Amino acid sequence: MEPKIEISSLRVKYGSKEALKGISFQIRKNEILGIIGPAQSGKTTLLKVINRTIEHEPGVELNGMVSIDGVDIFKMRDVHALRRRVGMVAPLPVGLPLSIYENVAFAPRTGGMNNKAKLDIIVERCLTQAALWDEVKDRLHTLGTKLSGGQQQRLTIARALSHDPEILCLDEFSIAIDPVTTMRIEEVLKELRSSMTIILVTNLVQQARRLADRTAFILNGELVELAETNLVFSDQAVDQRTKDYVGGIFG
Amino acid sequence: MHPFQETIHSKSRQRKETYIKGLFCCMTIAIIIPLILIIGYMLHEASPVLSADFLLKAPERGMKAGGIWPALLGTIYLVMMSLIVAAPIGVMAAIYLNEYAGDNWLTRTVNLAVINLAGVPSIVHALFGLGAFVLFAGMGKSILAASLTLAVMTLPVIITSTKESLAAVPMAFREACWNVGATKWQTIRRVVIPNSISGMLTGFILEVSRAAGETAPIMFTGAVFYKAVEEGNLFAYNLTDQCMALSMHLFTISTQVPGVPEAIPFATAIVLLGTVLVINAFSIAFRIYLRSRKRW
Amino acid sequence: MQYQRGRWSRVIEFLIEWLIRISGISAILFVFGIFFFVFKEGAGFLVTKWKPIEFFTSVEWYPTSLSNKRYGILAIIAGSASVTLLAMMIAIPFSLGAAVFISEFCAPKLKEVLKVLIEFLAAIPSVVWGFIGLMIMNPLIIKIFNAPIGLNVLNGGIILALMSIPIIVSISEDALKAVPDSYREAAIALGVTKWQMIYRVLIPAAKNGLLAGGLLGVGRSIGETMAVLLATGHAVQIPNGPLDSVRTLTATIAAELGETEQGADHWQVLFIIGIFLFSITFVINLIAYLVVKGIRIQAGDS
Repeated sequence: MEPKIEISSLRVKYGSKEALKGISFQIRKNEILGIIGPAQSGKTTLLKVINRTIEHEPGVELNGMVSIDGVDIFKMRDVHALRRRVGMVAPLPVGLPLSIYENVAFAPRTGGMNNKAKLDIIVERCLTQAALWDEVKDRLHTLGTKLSGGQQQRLTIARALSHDPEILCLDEFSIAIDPVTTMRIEEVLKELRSSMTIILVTNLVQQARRLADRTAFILNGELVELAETNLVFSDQAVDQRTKDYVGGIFG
Repeated sequence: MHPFQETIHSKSRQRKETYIKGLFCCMTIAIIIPLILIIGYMLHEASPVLSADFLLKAPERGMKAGGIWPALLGTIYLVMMSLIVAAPIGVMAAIYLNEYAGDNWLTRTVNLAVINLAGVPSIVHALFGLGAFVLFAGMGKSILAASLTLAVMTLPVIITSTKESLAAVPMAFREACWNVGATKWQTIRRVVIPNSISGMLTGFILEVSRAAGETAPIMFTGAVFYKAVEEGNLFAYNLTDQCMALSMHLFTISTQVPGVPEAIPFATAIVLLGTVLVINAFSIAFRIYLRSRKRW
Repeated sequence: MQYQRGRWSRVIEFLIEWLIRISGISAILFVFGIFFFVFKEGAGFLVTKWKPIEFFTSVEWYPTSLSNKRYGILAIIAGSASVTLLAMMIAIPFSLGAAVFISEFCAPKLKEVLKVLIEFLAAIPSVVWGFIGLMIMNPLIIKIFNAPIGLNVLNGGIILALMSIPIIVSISEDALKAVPDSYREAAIALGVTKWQMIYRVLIPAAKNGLLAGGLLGVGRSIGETMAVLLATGHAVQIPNGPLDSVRTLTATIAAELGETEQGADHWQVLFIIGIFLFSITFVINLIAYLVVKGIRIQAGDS
């Protein structure tokens, strides 16, 4: 079966520092792929390559190929259309200084849709999926920046869902939110898997264990291991470094 | 002896420190007190003549009596025209510098050019306006030429304050917009600019204050000694006319007209000074109000 | 979800972004433009009749003489230089004192008030300053010094000092603020008094910014027109003391341009003086910019 995303010999350099040292792997359609690894391993860089926001970083050198559904993403002419196919949730919550409604309507509007009725439906659907609707449904016109950190992170997730992405990337989404909200969102992710492919970068090893079908361990810009999650977290992990990291010996 | 006990040396050092602090305080006050005294004296000298009539009537008897209406109106025209020209260019230039410009030699040159433009002597701006707008572009001496000269002169004010307000918008907002597929311009239009309007307005107010006070750039490009203008008519000037202006008028009646009763120049000075200071006060109050209304 | 953004909105966006780019480089265009158009008016004389040595070294400025026109600007340069020098001698110590006070000794509330007052000082139009020089300082100087005339280097120098102080204070205060607190804390921990800390640690650490502030003050003073036109008198001479009247480069242009005929020799020479002025302030601003960039690189955020 054709992979959803194929990454071939991807090398990323910031000046003299090599963030990714030629990694290759495939991501399957409708799977949740967990990516674990210590800080500064290149996990965030990988996500930024997938939605091509890496291009905003100054002094970046890229080699290799990344393709979605068989099409090289760097050859796509409309990078904004690509970014609408990929939902991105960053580690730190960001509520845009717009109303909550406009926060979620932002992506559809900039994509060209302005029909109020349809926007209403999208806003409600995404806020519900992000487990935020009940808390804000009576104050959709208030500023998104005035919400709490956990609420802003759920707002970010709602925004990421608002443009109907095929691929959802989450970069350590639970850093700034409480465990209860994290659990609610994890339930949502499990449901979303059937309609999209999810890449879950996390430094919470247990989170990968709970959610991911397969897990990749990235260390110092290299892909050390990629296998079914239960294998990665067991004695049958191929690489010693994987066992050490999972076992908490370093991280 | 106790290690932390005060010695004669430390006491004298402390006294010296108090003197020094006092000295610096005095230096600061010395800058400000004379000013307050001067303004007070000017108000006193101007009081016989200051009234609403002074603002609304034209000069009479060869400027030895009457009011300053044509000059006031002329300044309003000049300032508005210069703002209309300088604001869009300045805002767009600031958007370029903060949102689009990369870290390269071109950007550094532009920044250097903005600083240089801000430091050009006002008389050189007058020469430029004369050579470029009055002569080369064929506008002749007119409100149009004078306003354009003022616009070029005050452009750095708008660029600098707009750039500051754009830079105050956190990068995280822009990244969040790009992540959902918004283009750079969409992000700027929908998120960055609406949250920088305040800083831009502050820049506009500052521009107005500077343009109102300048004399040299308009002396040879459109401001004149005297022009008869209908009192109370807000549309008395055409863009192709020459005009009187408050700043020019102050210069004129202080030096070019013999026998003017002293109250009149003092009153003109107070009106000009008062206008500029009120505009500045407004901008400062605006800034303070904005600080309390933070949106993030 | 892929809704098509109208082609129209994409075209508009393209045009707007190009407009932005052009506006961006407009500052460069204007600086070149200023040089070009001022040069253009004076070019004729510059190329054919200009005698540079006489121009810069002769004190004989007789552009309106019927029989023997001479264009020596040395006395005028001396006028600009003397007024600027006196202004800086007054302004720099006071500005430094005020900057240190505001930055190191001042309570936060008072700091806000003082900064606002200094902003007001900066906003005063130059013609009003000139008026103050003419109507207030003039009689004051005559009375205090028993001078024959109150429009002189002293008058202009004081006025220019008051005009330059805001910008010097502002930049100096920024420079002092930029010195990391760790410097201050380290010095105090060694047991020095506040004054010693300021004198031996802070000011040397901030010297680049202070230098830039001084340079910009000089640039401001040399370029000032209306205030000196009204306050320094009209004598084209090298001053023997602060009570002598002088003429500056800027005032010469402002006073005489109205009397000349477009394209005449005198007209062109005044434009040449304009180029000279522009070059001086350009160099001063360039040096100040480089000095400030030097600080930023030191502070680590180039």
